[in-house]
Amino acid sequence: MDLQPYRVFLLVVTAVLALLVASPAIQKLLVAPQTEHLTEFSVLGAYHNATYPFNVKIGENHRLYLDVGNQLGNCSYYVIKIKFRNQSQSSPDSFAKTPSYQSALANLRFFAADGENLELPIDVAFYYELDENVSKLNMERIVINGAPLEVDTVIDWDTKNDGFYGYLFFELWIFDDDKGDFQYHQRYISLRLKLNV
Amino acid sequence: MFVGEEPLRLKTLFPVLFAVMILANFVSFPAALASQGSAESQISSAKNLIKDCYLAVKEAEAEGADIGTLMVTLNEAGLLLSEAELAYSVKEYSLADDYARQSRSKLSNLISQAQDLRQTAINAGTQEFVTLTLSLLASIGILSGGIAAWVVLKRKERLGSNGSSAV
Repeated sequence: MDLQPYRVFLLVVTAVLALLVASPAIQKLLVAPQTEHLTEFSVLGAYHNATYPFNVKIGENHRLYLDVGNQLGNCSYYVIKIKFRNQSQSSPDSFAKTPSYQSALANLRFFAADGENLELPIDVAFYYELDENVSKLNMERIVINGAPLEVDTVIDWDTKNDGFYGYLFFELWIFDDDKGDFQYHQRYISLRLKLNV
Repeated sequence: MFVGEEPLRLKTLFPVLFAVMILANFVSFPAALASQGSAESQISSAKNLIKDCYLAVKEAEAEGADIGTLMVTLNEAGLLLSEAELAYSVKEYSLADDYARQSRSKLSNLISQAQDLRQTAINAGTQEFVTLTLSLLASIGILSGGIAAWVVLKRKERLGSNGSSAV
């Protein structure tokens, strides 16, 4: 009896069966390509697009949406520090990767699982008045999510751009497990605002 | 006479009112301080608890646990802590104290939940490892059996061809 055709059949069946049985283990052993680990940080205006506030009036409310996407490969604990400055005060530095030395008006604490995108809505309104000599503007308080926070920042008249300009900015900080404290995550967003009197 | 009595009554009332105001100030000032101190301590305590909970959740995640519900609770507590800090900034100490307490109560048994999930994930991981090892062993067994059958069939074929050539 010629067994040659059965031999080939047996080899094929054995190989297929072995692969089927081992497939769960093979799936575990095959490592998916590594993606870059990062955190996405962006801000959207009131209409969920790039219509950011620029011309600001006293007491006018501005809705902003802060979006954070965690692609770090594990869950993370973040804080967004909301700060305000005039043109000469300390700002975050993209090249030196340092935060601003201005103290935070408010801290937004939140957690994001790996691959999760979060959106944090905030409402901001500015209260200021013109100084007696008219060339200066006193930012007295900024209302964030209904809380009136005292600011006490003086803004000089910008002769070049013809107006009073202030910067509302958001710094992203992340909890460092090793240090047991928050570290600047080297991401910030700054909104330049023309403060109309 | 009524007109004549009025300045006299004011004269006697003024020191009493003054004394009451001073007393009220002495009573309310430490109360406000206590409220500020309590809010500060509650916020600090909530910060530490939230940090411990986060680390417990992260450990559970590292073992492959599904931490979805824990993350929801953590975010609720984080939001309340942010509100507490905001209220403290605007000197609303009793509100800050209340928010911080709420934040802490949200996390009351989160660490134990995270530890349970972690243990479940470890057990599931061990079971999975055993299953995978068994499947690999079974696969090797099937391959060996197939090769053995192939060798046997080949020998039989060789024996058969030798027998027919001898005849």
